[in-house]
Amino acid sequence: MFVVSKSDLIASIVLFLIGVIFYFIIIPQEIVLEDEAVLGPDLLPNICILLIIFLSALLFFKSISKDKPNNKGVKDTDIEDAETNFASLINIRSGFTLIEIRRVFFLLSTILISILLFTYVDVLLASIFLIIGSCIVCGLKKIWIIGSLSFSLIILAYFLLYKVLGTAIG
Amino acid sequence: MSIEVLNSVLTFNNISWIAFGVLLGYIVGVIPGLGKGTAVAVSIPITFYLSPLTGIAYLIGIAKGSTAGSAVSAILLNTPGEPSSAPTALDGYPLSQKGQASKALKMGLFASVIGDFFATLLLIFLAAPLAEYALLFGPVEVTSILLFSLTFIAALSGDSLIKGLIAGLFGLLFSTVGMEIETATVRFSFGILELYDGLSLIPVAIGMLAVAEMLVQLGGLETLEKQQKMLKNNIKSINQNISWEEWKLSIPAIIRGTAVGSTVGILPGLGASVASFLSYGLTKKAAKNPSRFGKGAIEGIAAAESADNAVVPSSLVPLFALGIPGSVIAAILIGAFIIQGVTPGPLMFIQQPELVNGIYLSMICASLLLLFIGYFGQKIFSLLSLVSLRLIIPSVIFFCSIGAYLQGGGIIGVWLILFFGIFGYLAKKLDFSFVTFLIGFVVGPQFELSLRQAIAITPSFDHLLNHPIAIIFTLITIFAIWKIGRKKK
Repeated sequence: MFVVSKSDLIASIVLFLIGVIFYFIIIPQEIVLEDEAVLGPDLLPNICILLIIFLSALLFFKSISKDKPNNKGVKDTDIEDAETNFASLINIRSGFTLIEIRRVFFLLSTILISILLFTYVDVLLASIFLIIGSCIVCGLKKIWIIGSLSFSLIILAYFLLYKVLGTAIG
Repeated sequence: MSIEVLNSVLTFNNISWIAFGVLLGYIVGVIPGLGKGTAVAVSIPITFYLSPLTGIAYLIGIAKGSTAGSAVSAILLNTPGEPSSAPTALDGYPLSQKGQASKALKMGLFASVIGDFFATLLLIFLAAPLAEYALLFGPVEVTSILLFSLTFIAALSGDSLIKGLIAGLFGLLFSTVGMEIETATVRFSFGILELYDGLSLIPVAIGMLAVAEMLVQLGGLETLEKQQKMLKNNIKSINQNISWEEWKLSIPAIIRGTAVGSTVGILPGLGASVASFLSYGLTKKAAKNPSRFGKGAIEGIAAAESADNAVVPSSLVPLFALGIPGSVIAAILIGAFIIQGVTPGPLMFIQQPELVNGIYLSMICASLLLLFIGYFGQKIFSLLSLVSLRLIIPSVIFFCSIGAYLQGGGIIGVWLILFFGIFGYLAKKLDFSFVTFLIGFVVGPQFELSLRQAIAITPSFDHLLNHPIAIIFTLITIFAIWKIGRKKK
């Protein structure tokens, strides 16, 4: 057996597992059926999940082949850092690179932390953290650029929300 | 068109918002990586504070402006602002390297405006008669048409039919979150009170389109910057006009492009990229000297841009006539319609004819404003393509969060953009069509309702024989899956 597309193979396994978990655990837990109705509220979710399970199984079989696949044009060594398990795990066609994964992780963490700051501390602090954090993730180094961008975005948001739209946040 | 409609459209407030939409769209289109989907999704919360007509006209203005603007970076940077402008770069960039960037940009703009204008006229003349016919459809027909649309979009919007279908099914699944209307059963709320009303389209669309796109762009920052550095030395091109000879070559290409773009736009799922490549290919085939293409043939730009821009208005035909979104823009526009308390579809022509006519007139105004803004802002827009994504990503993320907060029911909206940002990023990277996902999500509630009604009124297969339209659409769906599935092995 040869793998035609590593990313499809992994995606199909993950989707299959998600489908099974949904069908046997999440749907019975999250959709409480009051009586034995023919067209219960779980009709469409069940149809969707069963089809997802079926199609992910189909995707699994399409991602493997008996014959050696023709890898013309697909480079296996283009990954920036071959030591990264996650990046090398996924087919290079998808174009995951270590630097990208690192940036994505830090940007998502910035959003997450600013949500927590918004919830537990203050809206202004959350906004400043979100802008400065994402500037740093994007590789901006000059303090005056980061400072002026943060200042102008917050002023713009304030003007838009409080003056133009007449609403408020916080 | 009544005087009331003219009075409501030709107001300073309405025209200003349309112009602002076109301008914003143009700016977004010029900057590589920021597509019209991103711009429209982020702007939807603003429409809540505008009248239905102004809000929708503003969003359509953004879509039109962005489609035209994406040609600028394709011509100057060889990096299309949107994938659909890729064929524009094939001849636009060589022209730019020859020092004829201004001429290429002008042709891109004129072709865009002509394509957009005639496709808007097509929408005006086609949507109402189609809508009249659509009013005859019952739940069985609606179910089969929605099924056909979803599978057709799934089949055509990515490399793999299976992945497209999975994406569409996930869209349908996420649409079932919240209270089920018939039995009042809450589904997939996980104990979170805010999810009882279901997932709002706005944070889902912002997450899937804008946040996911910014995450994807994070990986390509250096590549784009290299191209921007090269352009800095090349941007001082002199002002050139298009000669009559060049117009003679380009007019047939524009007519062909408009026809191709309008046809492709009406069909759900094909999208602007298919239209522009198809139009470019046909023009190259029809040319006396096809070897000029790829080296700076001005009619190549005309063909690609006219088709690309004709798709935006014509993709609204299925939305207006049937209530079915055929493109991402149409799917997001549904969110804007719902915010305004308007249900897009055939009933709109009966219940709110003034609004429909107002939208049509606003779209024509947007076409004219596109010409004006694009022509006089050409030099500034060229410079805008040099703005670094390092400045744009933080700004977009910030405004995405504000938009999601305003229209997503508070902080839950920001949580949702985070979740759907990751979901959309993985979908884009692994080639699961996010377009199909979004359309599945948007049509989900209508599909579920009509499916339940259809099952209730057709207890056996014999009853199905009374619905020939449904049978035809089901057969076409099966045939399309079989045919396209075989091609995409």
